[in-house]
Amino acid sequence: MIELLKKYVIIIILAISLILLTLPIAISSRIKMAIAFPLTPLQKTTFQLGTAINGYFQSILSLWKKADEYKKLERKVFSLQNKVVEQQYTINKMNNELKNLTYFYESALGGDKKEKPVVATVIGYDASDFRKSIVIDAGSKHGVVTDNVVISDGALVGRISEVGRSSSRVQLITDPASRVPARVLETREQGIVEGTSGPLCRLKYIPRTAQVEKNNKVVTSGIGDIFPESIYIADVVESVVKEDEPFRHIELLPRMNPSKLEVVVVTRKEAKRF
Amino acid sequence: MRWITLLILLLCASLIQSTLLGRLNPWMIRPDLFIIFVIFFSLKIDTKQANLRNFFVGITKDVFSAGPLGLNAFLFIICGFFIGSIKDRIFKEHPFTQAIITFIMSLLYGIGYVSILSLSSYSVSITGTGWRIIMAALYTALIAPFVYQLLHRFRFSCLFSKSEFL
Repeated sequence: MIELLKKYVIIIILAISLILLTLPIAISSRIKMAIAFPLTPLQKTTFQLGTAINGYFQSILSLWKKADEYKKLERKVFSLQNKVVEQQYTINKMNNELKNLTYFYESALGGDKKEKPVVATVIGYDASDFRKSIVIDAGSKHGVVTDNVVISDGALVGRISEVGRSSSRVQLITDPASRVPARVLETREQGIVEGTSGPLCRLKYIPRTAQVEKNNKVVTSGIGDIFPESIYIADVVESVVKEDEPFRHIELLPRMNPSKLEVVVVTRKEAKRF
Repeated sequence: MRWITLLILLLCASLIQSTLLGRLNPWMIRPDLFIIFVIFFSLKIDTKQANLRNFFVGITKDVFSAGPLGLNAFLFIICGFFIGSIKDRIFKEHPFTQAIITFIMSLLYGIGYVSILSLSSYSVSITGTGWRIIMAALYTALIAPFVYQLLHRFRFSCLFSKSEFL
């Protein structure tokens, strides 16, 4: 029996690979997260180490900047600090109003604390060069589920594709499997933002007669059950009409920069509205 | 077989690939440590034993990637099979040969991976990602001889038993 196995080992492992490929996505995601779960603390530590090393090299490089640039920045900082003091009064006033509203929402309207967004740290990237995803340190125990939307500084990052106990994988908008229903802010044209595995995305199904220009902004349209509307996705960098094609060829530069992502927000169920 | 050592090696490679290399990526391209391991195993030991290891290397990469489980395992076995068929005809100890083999296999792996993705209705094509495939293969080939040297010095006996080594 063992001799037979040794003789056909290549065929057996090829067959196992093909069987694994045909597994439903839900099952293969669970298997992957179950295997990767024990490594989450190690991954987090290694990522933080990488961030620290990168920060050190960045600070050395910044020493090469010219002295007059520093002087200009110093003057600008001084002026901004003065403006900050001016704005502080307004901020304090708005803060008080917000606190009152939150109290009203939670006590009078019964706001659900479980629907609060989850703040998570990025702890890893996709091991493959052709898939674009990140791993964050928030999982099912924090209330994260598949298809939760992930944003950072008000820009769309992606959606949760795999969930583990204490970590999750986020499919970025630049991933080739990513499809986001979107709208051009200026012209209201609707299309689908697709990832291309590169730094840019594509906006598809915009008619060739549409007036979409460079620097137009693209936001989520709210169509479908996943992405809420009006989240900033990207800016148009190229909009051309190619011969014999019914749709425009539009390339987008995502607002979020995956290599600079450190902290993200996982939005959970839509809050109750009255 | 030294499976515990292989497991530790794969663990380290996974952590480096998914964390540290994610920060050291000019033009958003990283070298692929996993394909370097596949080529190393395929050049050094019997094809069957090498492909068994390549399968686990592929599964490890699948776990740390967003792709379907089994895709990298399948491609790495094919790569290992291909290398196994030519390894007796090349001078595999020379760093230049190792770099060339790595470049060619990384290129073929990239083309294979992107082809399978595009056939599965993902919005990616070989023409669109061709430049990235070539640059990634080049980057991997540049660091490959150093990694092979490290693996050689890393107590070779920890990875293979005498009966497996050619």
